[in-house]
Amino acid sequence: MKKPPAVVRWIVYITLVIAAIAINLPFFWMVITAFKNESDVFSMPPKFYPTIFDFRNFVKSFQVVPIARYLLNTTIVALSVTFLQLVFNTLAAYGLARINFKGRTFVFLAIIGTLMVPPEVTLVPLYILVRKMDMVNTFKALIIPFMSSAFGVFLLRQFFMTIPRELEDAARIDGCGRMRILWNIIIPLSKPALWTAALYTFLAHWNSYMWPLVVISSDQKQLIQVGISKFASMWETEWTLQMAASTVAVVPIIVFFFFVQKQFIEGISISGMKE
Amino acid sequence: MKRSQKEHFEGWLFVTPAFLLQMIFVYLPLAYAIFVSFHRWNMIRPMKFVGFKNYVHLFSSGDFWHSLLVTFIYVLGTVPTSVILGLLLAMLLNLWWVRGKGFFRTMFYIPVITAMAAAAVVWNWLFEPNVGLVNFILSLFGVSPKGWLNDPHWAIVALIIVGVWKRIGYNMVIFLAGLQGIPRTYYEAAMIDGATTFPRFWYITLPLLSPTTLFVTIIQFIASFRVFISVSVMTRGGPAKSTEVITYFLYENAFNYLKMGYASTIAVVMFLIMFSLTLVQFKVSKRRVFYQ
Amino acid sequence: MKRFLILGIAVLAFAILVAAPIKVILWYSQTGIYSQTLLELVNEFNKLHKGEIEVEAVYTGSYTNTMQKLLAAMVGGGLPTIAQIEQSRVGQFIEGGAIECLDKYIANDPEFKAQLKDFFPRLLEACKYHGKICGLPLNVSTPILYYNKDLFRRAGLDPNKPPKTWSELYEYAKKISALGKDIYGYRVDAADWLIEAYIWQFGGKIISEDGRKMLIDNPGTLAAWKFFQKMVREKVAVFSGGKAGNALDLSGNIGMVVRSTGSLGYLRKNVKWDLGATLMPYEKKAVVPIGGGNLYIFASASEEQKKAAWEFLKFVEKPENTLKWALATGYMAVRMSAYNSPELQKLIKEDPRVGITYIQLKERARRRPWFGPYREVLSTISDGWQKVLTDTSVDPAEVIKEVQRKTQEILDDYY
Repeated sequence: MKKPPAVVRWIVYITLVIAAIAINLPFFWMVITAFKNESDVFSMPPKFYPTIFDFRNFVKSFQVVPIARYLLNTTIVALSVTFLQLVFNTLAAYGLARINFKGRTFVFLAIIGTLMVPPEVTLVPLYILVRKMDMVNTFKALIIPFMSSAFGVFLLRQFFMTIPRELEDAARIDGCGRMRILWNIIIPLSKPALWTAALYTFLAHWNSYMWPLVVISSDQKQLIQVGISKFASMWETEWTLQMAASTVAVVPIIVFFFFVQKQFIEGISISGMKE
Repeated sequence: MKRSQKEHFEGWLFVTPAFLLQMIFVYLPLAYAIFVSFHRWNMIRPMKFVGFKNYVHLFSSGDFWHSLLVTFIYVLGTVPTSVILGLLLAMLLNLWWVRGKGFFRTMFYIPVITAMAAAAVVWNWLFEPNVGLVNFILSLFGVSPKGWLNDPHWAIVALIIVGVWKRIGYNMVIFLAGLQGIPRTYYEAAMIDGATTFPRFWYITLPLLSPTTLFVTIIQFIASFRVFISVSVMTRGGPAKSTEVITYFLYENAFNYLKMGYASTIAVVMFLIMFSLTLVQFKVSKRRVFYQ
Repeated sequence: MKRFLILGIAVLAFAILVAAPIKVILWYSQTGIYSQTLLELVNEFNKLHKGEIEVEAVYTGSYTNTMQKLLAAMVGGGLPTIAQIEQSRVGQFIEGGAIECLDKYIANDPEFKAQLKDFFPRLLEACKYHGKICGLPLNVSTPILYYNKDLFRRAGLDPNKPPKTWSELYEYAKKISALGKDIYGYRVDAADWLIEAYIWQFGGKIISEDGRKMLIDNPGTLAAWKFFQKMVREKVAVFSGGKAGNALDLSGNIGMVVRSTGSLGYLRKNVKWDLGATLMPYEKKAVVPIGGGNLYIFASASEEQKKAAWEFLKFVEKPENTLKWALATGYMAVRMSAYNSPELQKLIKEDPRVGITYIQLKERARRRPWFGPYREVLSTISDGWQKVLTDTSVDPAEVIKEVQRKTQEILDDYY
């Protein structure tokens, strides 16, 4: 294919660069603040550059609360949830996308419906339930209620539905069972969607705040967002420390995303396939 | 006949684990909330049955209708903008000759990764009318300063901006994944037919992308309808209730005023509204969405 | 053999019973330096009572988040022994019988009873519910007036003569705001306790003594709301709160602002201009609210836990510990002996700004309303306040009437 004229290319690049800068202003501000003295945070006119060039705010934030511990806990919980969700959501999504069974619409709507239940009001009953199951103050309470999610099921169902049916029909004629079709045909073709679903699940649990705060009552088992919030009092927050801690919570994910994004965006190429 | 029964069995086999999990951990608590909605309960003293009183009270309360209106303004401001901008960025990054795709994708994705609570704090500074960066940048373009979070008319706009900011990258990634799923053969066929960029987009990309678009729209509709963290960190429903979205209204009643019965009523009504609106979206899209 | 076994088990059980210290769970909302100081006190207490009592302090998020955790535990089980609760949020817990009142423990503890005289009476008053002491103060403060001496000088005002009344403050603020477009004489906040303070100081009332009748529609409230609306309308004052308000304060463009005395340390450290502080102004009545949180013991805990919790409360309230708390955090020391200690007196002598809150505490401080539905009443008042200050063409009289009607409905519905 031929490249478009230079003017068009310039317009596209300039749009992308401006969008990238505009979208990341808050993030830049956060990182810059992590490299400032507390008294420089609100100076007027604003300082768009760091005023200290070492990691003292980071070191200090690590000393004040056990961030490393929180990060470890959060990684364990978020990875477990992500893995379990991939399994259960994929199964359900395939069933909903491709098998024509009685009650399919009902199940689909019931699952979608969970997205519309405000967590603020199920907090108390869910706590009662989790306590009855004797899971309070354990990682189980953070993992087991979230082993499946409507978001994941819905996302995967939508993607499975775009995969040409002919591929599956051919395999079924060859005598393949449902599980084999799922494993050998659907999953390899759905890598971008699976990665996307996994990433969103991981992020949702990486950033979860209210539920761990309510259900965990031991500092050693607490997760990162609750840990970070310890820096913030009503107004007199230690901004530099909080921003340093927030940066620590975000950067690993950004780096991770940068390295894996090719996987789920350019992971497959359907073009060579037989129709 | 036999075949259909087998399908029936297989179908349930696949969906049962997820279905059961949702039943236990979402619908059981919801059932409890429905039960509570017929009671007066501050979570400290025992519940007292009050029949439909909470519902009557809710529908006759100006605060409820007001919060519903604010929510709709927020949803209408956030969803179309973030979906269109997300699609636009995805299209640009899907151009084969664009370089630095990984870099741009990551840049656009950073807001999604950042926890809303931390981001909302930063946005608070940026929107400060006198010393904030937003007014500073606007002034460079000759735009007069706005009151933003201190102004009942602009506060909701500020929240919409933050909402769009947070969601663009999210939508972009899903659209990118969707675009990858479109078999290139379709485009190749179109190329042979000599179709130019715009018709190609309109007649091929958009229809083939429609399941993704439906997904993104519905997910964003639900997410915006449930917006909470940015409101609670940035405006706490103010000034003068101008940003009191329905979830915040619910939250205040539940954990600030300790009126759990009433809060549960709000939740039940909110659930019903969202559910019917989602159904409408599915119905409307049925004719438009193109599945393979 | 069998008998031996039983004996062994009995001995073991006894040993465990004796060896295992009583566990006291404390839920708290303090962050940063406040949290550190509290944890130091907890560690010290645990060392002192090694083998007998062990206090485990758990951070539970902001005041509001703490409510979520508390209420979930209230319903589902798992309440702590002690919790730090903000004063205006504790009403329904007290009225619902969830909090253990301390009179019983005080009566059985002559030593402590004798020390009650040493507490600032107004602080102790703020711990009484229906006449009984049901909690003890932890992080308590009053609001004071901070002002920018540099701006005072530039406006030709004497930086050592800050305004005493709101009318005086208005004149000062006018001169300061004339210095420039971005400069304001005063920053008005929407913080709950300040709205209460303004109403009281203009001679207004909010709610009846028994908490059943709203009294907010009165000339005092109207005068207060009109006064601040006028200041905002004339751009003599700016209406801004929360984190953005804090940013504004630090920027040096604000002439005067009322904030908690607990902010003194923070402001002293972070402002780059000459920081003055004085008593909060008044108009008709010299009165300020006492804000912050107290420590409460839950009735659901076991008897021995409650006893252990009582020991901890007494420990926190010891003169040396309340002094330590006050020195580290900027909150008030709750006992007069701590206030009169050479350490605190020396500090006040070096920096008189530290002493302002104590002058207020002795002469002007007053507890805030606390009754069950008061949180909801307060947000309705706050909405009205915001309406008046964000749209300066609104008639405050109308808004106050509406607030009176709505809040009375809330009270009627509750009782």
